[in-house]
Amino acid sequence: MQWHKVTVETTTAAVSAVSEILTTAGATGVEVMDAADPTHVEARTPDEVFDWSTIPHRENGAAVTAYYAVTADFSRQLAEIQRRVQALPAAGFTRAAAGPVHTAQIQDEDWSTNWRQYYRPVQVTRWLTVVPAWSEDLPDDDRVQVIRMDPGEAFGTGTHPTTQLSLQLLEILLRPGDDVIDVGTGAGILSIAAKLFGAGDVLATDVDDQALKVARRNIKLNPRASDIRLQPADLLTNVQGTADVIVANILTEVLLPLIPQLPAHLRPHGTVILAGIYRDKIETITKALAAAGMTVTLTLTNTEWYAVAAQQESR
Amino acid sequence: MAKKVANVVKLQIPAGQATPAPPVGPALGQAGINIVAFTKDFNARTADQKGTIIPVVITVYEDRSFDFVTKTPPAAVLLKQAAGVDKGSGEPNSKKVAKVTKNQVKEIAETKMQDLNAADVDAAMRMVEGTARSMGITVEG
Repeated sequence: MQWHKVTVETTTAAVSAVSEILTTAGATGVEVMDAADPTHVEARTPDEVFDWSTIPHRENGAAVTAYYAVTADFSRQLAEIQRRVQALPAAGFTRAAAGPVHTAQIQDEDWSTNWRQYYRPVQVTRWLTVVPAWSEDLPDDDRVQVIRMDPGEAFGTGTHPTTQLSLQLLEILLRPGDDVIDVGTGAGILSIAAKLFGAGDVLATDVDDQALKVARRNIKLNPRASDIRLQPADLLTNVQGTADVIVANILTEVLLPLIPQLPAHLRPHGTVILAGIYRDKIETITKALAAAGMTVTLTLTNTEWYAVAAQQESR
Repeated sequence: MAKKVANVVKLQIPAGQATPAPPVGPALGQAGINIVAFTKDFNARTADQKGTIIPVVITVYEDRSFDFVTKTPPAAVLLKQAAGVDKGSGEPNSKKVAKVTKNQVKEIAETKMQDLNAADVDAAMRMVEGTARSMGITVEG
């Protein structure tokens, strides 16, 4: 099947009216692009970082796009759209609201699986490659460990710079048999990696039930990580026990309340790995660690992100 | 983990019945996100609103994970509900199908203010009034 793509150039004010015109003409939905988005779309959670200089958006006006199956009916649909769009100034909108109307023909694709092309195995550290759940493409070097991940909502697949930094620090610092607590495990990648690197007991916590569900699914894809324990918890509140390595790849605002909780759960000579630190927050984190009696022993950076390893100052 | 936003996609699609077909497929396919996961979650979250079109804003992060938020029905849908009609007029200038009051327009404008990208309630009201007139719904008062 083929589709007619119809895009109406318009103004922010007339987006609602144009959307109505396109759906009334028979489209099952529309896509809206609006130059006013950068001033109106807001972060819904504190960990969303918006930088509109890198997010694609319209520079002026607005555009509404709809799709129509290629049928004999289309010329009538298009004529109707054009007639009603041209009438928008009569409804009280500016002349800029009234088009132009662009059309293009696009091929049907298998949209339900095409997105998979964007996910390829990624070698995230010297000894670790993240491979999508469905991929047959495995690393040639059999010394490289493979983590299987299923990309889904809200949680990534290990290729985010902060995850890479956390994995690199784990690879450098984790000793075989070390017990690990992974605070805010998300999709579970750091816990799974810790297991592959030879960790002993691994406890993964998250405050979000959805995260724990995703983590459980990813752990299932990695049989060597099957004994990871999952626990719903707000940071380390109500978490029992101590570990040799505590890793947290979250965000500065969440790391700050975590830091004072760390010493009670960290064994002597244990290591803390903190990631998710935007470059302008590194000093804040270093100071908070010092206040909790810890010193940064290793810092890694990747693009604008920082990750640190810290140890307790000897008493 | 901090999530840097790579893409913002705004759609209006049928509640409970989204599929990977256009506009969802082409819009989200380019962003490289798991479309099946999106339609499944969207349909689950909007199942009780089946029969309406629902605006949704999808935030795609730089690692191609995503999150989304659904909004109240489009202004045109709320206008039809307020006016008590199933559809607007194809000949809005010559054929009026219904009437709404200024108060109803204001109510819709207040409900939709944030989604309309309007600077203030007055601007939102002008958008809603224009949408009404473009559908052959007269605004009284």
